[in-house]
Amino acid sequence: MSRRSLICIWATLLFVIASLQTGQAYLRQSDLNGSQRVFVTWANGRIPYSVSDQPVPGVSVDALEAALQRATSNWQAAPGSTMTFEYQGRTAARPLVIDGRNTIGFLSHPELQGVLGVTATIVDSVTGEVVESDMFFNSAVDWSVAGNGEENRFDLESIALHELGHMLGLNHSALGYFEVTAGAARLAAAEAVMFPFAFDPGTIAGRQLKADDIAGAAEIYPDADHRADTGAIRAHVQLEGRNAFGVHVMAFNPISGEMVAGFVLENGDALITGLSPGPYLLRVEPVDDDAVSSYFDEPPVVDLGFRNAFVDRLVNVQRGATAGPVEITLVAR
Amino acid sequence: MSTRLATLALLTLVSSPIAAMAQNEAEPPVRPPTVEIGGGIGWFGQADAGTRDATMTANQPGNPDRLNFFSATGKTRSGPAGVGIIGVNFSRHFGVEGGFQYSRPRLVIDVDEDVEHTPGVTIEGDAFDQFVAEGNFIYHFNQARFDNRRTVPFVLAGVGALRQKTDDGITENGTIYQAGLGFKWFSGISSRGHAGGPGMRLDVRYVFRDGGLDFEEDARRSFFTFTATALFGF
Repeated sequence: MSRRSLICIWATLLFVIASLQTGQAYLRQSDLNGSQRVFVTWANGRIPYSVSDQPVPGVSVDALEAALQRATSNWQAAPGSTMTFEYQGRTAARPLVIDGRNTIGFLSHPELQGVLGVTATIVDSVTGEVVESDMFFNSAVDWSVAGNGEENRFDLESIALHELGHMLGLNHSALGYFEVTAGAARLAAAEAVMFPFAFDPGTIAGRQLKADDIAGAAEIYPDADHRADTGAIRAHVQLEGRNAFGVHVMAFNPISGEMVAGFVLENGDALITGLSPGPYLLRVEPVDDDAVSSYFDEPPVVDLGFRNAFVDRLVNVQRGATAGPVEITLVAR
Repeated sequence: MSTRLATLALLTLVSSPIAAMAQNEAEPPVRPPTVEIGGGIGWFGQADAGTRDATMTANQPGNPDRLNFFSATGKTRSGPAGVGIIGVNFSRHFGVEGGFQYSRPRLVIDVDEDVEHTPGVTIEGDAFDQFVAEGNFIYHFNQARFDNRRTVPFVLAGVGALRQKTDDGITENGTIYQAGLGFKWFSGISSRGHAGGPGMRLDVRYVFRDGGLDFEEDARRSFFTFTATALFGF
């Protein structure tokens, strides 16, 4: 922070439900520094945090600490990654105060309708290193820390797991599916903790990391063997004779059932890493136009006007290697 | 003296066909060659590789179901194989053999039932190496020999190790269990009743595959194979 004024602030929200949203992908938090994309990361993979000492109805500070302990342990146990969350104790400070401390706690924001949690991160936009990251859970909604969840209350551990993913440097995944019934959209399913919309109150299924989350964490903080043990797929996606942007490319291994994806970023390329070796089929689709801001902060032109498609070839992923580039030509809608 | 010799020679000439005729009426039993080696070609039938649904965790309390996002159903295409075999027959009926098969099947995947109605597609994967090392027990139906006793039907049952390897170095292992029937033909039968010399073998097998490239765990797949093998028995 000392040498640069190039500081950007990341604020990532977790919505209860906002709009129709489909797609797949893990995405790293990043920022464009000129033409260079800089990815958010913690120096040495160490993520210190403190807990604000203000309880809310239904959740004591002890319970918040315990939920965070379980959630951080969950991330730390993700295969292939080495990040370490370091609990620094309680603090009287509140989240979102720029004080050099990474504070997690509750804040009441009833005006943020549907927002369950926010992680705001200050990043050195030249190096991508995190300067400070705070997180709050919106105490305007009802929370639960019960082992099996509680009816009509959101599971704090699930939401903490999601927000901690932002804290460590992941952006949203789009591995989820909304169904529309009688004109109303409802989250039907998700296969990534980093999906931007939460499961219904009373559900605790969000406490488990999925392959997409694990691949994302390991991409940022790979352990010594990760790159040698896993492979990657590079896809080059074009639409109407030019490089596409913002397209979701999903890789599915029909033998293991593993589902991981990536977004097309610069140069029409999508790189999906952290894949166990094996055959993969690819599926491409646009993000829903209502949800573009859940994935991209910059205002590039995100390609939406094309048809979903499966790629008509199988991609074999080898340990320690990148398969491809798989050339994909989208069909305009 | 010369008359005696001529008479003896004539008796010998005359008696020989008689001896041969007597032998035809009580032929020594024919048995397979002690050792058989051979090589040939085979044909692997198409085999299912199972179905794997791409699923997501459903949004429901308790123990949530999985929502099917789309389905992928695989099969390995039929194709030719190279076959090598070496067998040892330790009785008129029973023998054992070891064999090796190599083929290059291709994985094909049908993708459909997409929840967002993405058009289905059939995806042709690259061909991959498939090796089978097998051991079989063989029973020869010697009493059912035909074609001047040079052809014998047989049945076999055995087990083998399967190894499948893609060109990118991905390896899947499995086991095969098989049973089959066929015919062996050898061009010669020795005076002691041993079939041997150049020969030919045809067989058809019903194969169960356990493991290997499959979309479902613990699934056993079945398929047929045909092999035609040039043999030499001695």
